[in-house]
Amino acid sequence: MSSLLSGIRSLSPQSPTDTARRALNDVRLFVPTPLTDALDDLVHAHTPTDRPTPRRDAPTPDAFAGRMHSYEILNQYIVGAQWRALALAAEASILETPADEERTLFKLWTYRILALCSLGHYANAAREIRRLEVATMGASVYEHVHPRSPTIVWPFELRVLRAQVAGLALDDWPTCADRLSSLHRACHRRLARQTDVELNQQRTVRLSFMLATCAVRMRDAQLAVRVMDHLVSEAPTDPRLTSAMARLHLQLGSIREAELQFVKVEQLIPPDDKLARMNRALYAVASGKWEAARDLFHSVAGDVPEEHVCAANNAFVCEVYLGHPQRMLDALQRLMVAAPRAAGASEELVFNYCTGLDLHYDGAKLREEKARKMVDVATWAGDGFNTASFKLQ
Amino acid sequence: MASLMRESHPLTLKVMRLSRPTLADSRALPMDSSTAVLAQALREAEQNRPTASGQIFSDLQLSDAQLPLDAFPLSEALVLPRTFGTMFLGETFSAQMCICNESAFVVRDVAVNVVMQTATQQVPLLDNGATQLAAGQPLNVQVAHEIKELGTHVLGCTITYLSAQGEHRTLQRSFRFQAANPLVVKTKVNHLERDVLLEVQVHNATHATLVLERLRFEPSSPFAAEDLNAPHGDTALLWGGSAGFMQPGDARQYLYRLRAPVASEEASVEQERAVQYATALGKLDILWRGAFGSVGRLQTSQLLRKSPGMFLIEVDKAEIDKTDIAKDPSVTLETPFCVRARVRNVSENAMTILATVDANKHPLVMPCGPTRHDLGDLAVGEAREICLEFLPLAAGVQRFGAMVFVDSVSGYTRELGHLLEVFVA
Repeated sequence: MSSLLSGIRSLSPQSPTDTARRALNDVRLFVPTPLTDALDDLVHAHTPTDRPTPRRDAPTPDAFAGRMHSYEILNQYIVGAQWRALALAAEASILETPADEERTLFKLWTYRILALCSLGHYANAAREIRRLEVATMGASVYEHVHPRSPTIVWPFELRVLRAQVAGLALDDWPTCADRLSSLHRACHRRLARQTDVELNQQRTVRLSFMLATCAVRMRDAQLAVRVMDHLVSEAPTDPRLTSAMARLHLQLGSIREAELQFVKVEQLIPPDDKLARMNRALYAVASGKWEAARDLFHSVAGDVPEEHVCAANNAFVCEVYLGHPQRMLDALQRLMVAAPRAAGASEELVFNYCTGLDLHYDGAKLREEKARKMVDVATWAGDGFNTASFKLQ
Repeated sequence: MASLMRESHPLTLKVMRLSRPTLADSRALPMDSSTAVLAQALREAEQNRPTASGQIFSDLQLSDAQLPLDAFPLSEALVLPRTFGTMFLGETFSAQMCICNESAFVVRDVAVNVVMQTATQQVPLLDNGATQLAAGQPLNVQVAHEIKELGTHVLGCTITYLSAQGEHRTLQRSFRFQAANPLVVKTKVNHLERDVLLEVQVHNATHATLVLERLRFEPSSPFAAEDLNAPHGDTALLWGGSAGFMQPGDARQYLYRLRAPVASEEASVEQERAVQYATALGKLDILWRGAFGSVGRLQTSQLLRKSPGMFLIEVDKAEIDKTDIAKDPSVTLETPFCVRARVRNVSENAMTILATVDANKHPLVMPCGPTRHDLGDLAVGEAREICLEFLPLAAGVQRFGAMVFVDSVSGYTRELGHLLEVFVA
């Protein structure tokens, strides 16, 4: 750049002096999408060149540019966890949609931001949301400030994503909580006006759970429990909600309180309901009763563990605490083969499996086993798989 | 170069700390269930990833319309510990150890010896008898040790075996970790006549939330402890709900009253000395829980006080002579009242005691009867009661009854600042 121009900053969409509203299909709203996939890179780095590696989609912008992609196609990308393709298809569709079709454009932006978050590109998602905010300045993003806003209304999902991205991108969970609280208040106002009652009731429940998540991330156990208490008080006879409350107490270490809640659940459902057995099993884990926990989890998983992946996984985890890590390894491997998508591509199961490998093997043998597992996972996993699950130091 | 010089062994040793598993975080991004065009697609995707979903399932057909659980922060899947974490005093260190024969040959006479070495002691944890490991076969053992000391701990593992060549060999590995203090306990002792008010402050010195499940004071003789923290014995306010949570850096304060035995005429001088010279108050027993119920327990060493000691002449009882004293402990302005005081010889020799009331020290409650009382001869442990009259001249809470006791045998003198405090109405 010429030295004559140094020190002169051009106006960017983030500049506070730029008050011009951009169209929602303006190309300048987008941040370049990284198209590499960490799992692909890992597989190629750790698999010998003479061994075949699974073919995984490697979408390129050219394959999507210049045309609209239907909602059916976009939804297929969601189901297949093809987040890179979704990000590119949403971008292309946005660019092809007329600027005055704001509802459609916002829906497409929801797909776009969802894809970026699912890929773990939270910083990029935050930047694009910020650009969207500037582009729609004065619109109903800040509904509590402008309750009678002009016609542009961000979809609820996009506003939720905007709140969550603050926490995910910047670890700024207080801001996330503020934004979610603002949405919560807006939903309450609508409920008070008897507008879309069922929808707004669902929304307030979801937002309360998300607020509890923020509280947990902020390490504010008392706030998390208070939020859940409030939810439970509004639906005291729903056993799932009371179970959720109890499990949160278990996670935080409040075992006595968890026990009280589990007892309430047992009064609401039959004793052999799988929810009751799962609760008892989790309580047994927290009490250090590994054999009882394992047997209860097995009773939930039954003869078809691939249909109850969580219960089966939990039963196998108990084997480590019972002194049989090899059993966990063998059982997890069988489960991952039987349910390659639900179990084989599960970050949690892969992590547990690799923990077992770390305990059992060392050196070249350990690397070989992990490389084998990477290939298995890469065959079935979609984009954005968290490769930290393989525990490669 | 260091690695080339290192011996190679057919056996490998791996150790994993067995802290509690936790529920995985739910990673589903929740959407509206009815109006969003992508809601159905997200639900299908969630079914493909059950371990990342916050859904809770029951055999009952419960509608999600009222209660969409897709945003619950925890999934149903347990995840093994991600890191070694921090070890704290009062917790139990437990570990899974895996010794694996990675050679192609049988290894015989494999014996495992594990010790925990601290700054002050070496504690044996495991001494396995000899066993045989086929090629590729693992040997899994578990060890546990309660952490009772701060500072460096070393888990020392020694494996002896007979190699395929018939050679006796030894594989030694050690694993070092630190034990930190999870709770900082501070106490403050306040004296309340014969009793002690003990203030306890407990501070969470970790980086995680703890749940304080129990804090109990176990008094030492001769004290009896009264817990002043739970009104009417209702401990739910202290430990129930979210009350037990201690965030990192939080501090809690508790109060106990330690009651000494009431002084009585029947009590011997030795018993009274045991109370007055007692320095040990008792111990605190604290129980807490971490994530998913991991337990920690600490007991403090004896909490001490500076003993008040005893005078050789004690007034072990002083009360206003009034029939309804329990109901109404006050006296009336400018109306004389009587105080009964019991004076005891708690020295080791007989005494001849003369008691004198100081009329000038508390002018607002004047003595109005005899100010000199000759108690005569008192044997060791013997007590005598005297009756003193006073006239209150000002309303409010007043101290009175400054006295001097003199033993004419030894010349010992004891000055008493005041006998009692009274409310003058």
